[in-house]
Amino acid sequence: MKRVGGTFGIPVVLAVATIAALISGLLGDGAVDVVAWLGLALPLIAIGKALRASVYAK
Amino acid sequence: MRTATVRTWCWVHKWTSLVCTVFLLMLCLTGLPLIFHDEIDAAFDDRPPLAALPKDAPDLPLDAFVRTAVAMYPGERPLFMSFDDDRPVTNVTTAKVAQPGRGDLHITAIDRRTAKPVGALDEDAGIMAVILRLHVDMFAGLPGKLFFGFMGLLFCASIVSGIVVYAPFMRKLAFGDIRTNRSRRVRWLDLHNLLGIATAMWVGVVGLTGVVNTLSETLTAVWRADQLAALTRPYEGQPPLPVAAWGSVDRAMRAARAAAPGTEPQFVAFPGTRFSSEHHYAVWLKGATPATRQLLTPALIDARSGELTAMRSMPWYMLALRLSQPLHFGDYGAMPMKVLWALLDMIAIIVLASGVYLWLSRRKASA
Repeated sequence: MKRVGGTFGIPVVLAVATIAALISGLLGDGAVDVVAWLGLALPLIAIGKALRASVYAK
Repeated sequence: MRTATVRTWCWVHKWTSLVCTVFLLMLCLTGLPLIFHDEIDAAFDDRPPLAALPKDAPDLPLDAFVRTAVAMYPGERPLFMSFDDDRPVTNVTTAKVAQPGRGDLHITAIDRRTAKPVGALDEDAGIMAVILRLHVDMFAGLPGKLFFGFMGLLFCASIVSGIVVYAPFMRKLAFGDIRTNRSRRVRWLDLHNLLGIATAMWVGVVGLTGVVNTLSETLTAVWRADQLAALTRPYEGQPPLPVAAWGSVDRAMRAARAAAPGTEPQFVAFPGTRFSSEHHYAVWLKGATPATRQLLTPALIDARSGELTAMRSMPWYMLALRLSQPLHFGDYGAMPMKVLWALLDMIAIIVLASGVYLWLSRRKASA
């Protein structure tokens, strides 16, 4: 993976997604819950992609 | 960053982590089943079934439930009344004194349609109760809780310092790079960095809200001494209202709901308890919409006259305490959120364990 946005580019995006997810879930049920799931899933997806890339780079 | 600065931050990260890691590992492990405690409790539901009554059977007055509970345990006084959402049941807590120690109280579940007890709630029974107490205070009461609070603060410091030292470690690496061609220690270092930085916000929020939750008794005591005392100033100096002089709970409930239309009662705190004054029924009302459900407002009703004395929203620290519960438990976004919570918790366990491994294998690396 390239150094997109410097060292903290991707981590900041993940952090913002997480906090947005945590707050939106509090605000209601239904559609905003989906926003919460997506936001919380994003760090997991990023980890999965990074691990996959490392395995294939071998 | 200067080498000396990096070294200082590394030192902070190492020691704040090492001191709290054992406890944090335990908290992450016990927290995992607790995420699903609703489902686990439901699967092992041994609550006696309720009497079969017509669907439109009306609810009996609240005062009848109080009489039922007190009759079960003569010599005790009512402390709290709460309402089940999933069945027509009201729970009444009784004890010999208004602020009893742990285990010195009884919770009676009462059928709202018959005012007959459907069983006692033993919150300390079962494996989930053991796990919960390990997670909350290690069976050590308030000191145990506050100790966890301190460990949580160290954990927060370890997260912050971890984010700081992430920068120098990643200077030549891209996000997620795992140097698979290097030693095992380097591979684990890269994994520790990846998992740690990607979940830093979640771990930080769950950690910080956990710390706030350890302060629940403390903050409630502050609220009682500060806001509640101000709201009930006219009653200052009066002796506590004896139980025999308490009026109707139903009347208090009507007065509270009339004062705050569009709210639902969460629980009623009787005079003398932690959540009320010596002279009032405190009816704790919650908003009826998802966004306001977490916001509780106590309506203080003179226990003798049944009239509203005061009603004021909770101060910021009680609001923070209240919001810290869902943000710590992850129970506000249905099952997918619980599953994500569990996955993130497992990643936190890997980060903690790999941190210990990196520390244990440090000599080999420097040799």
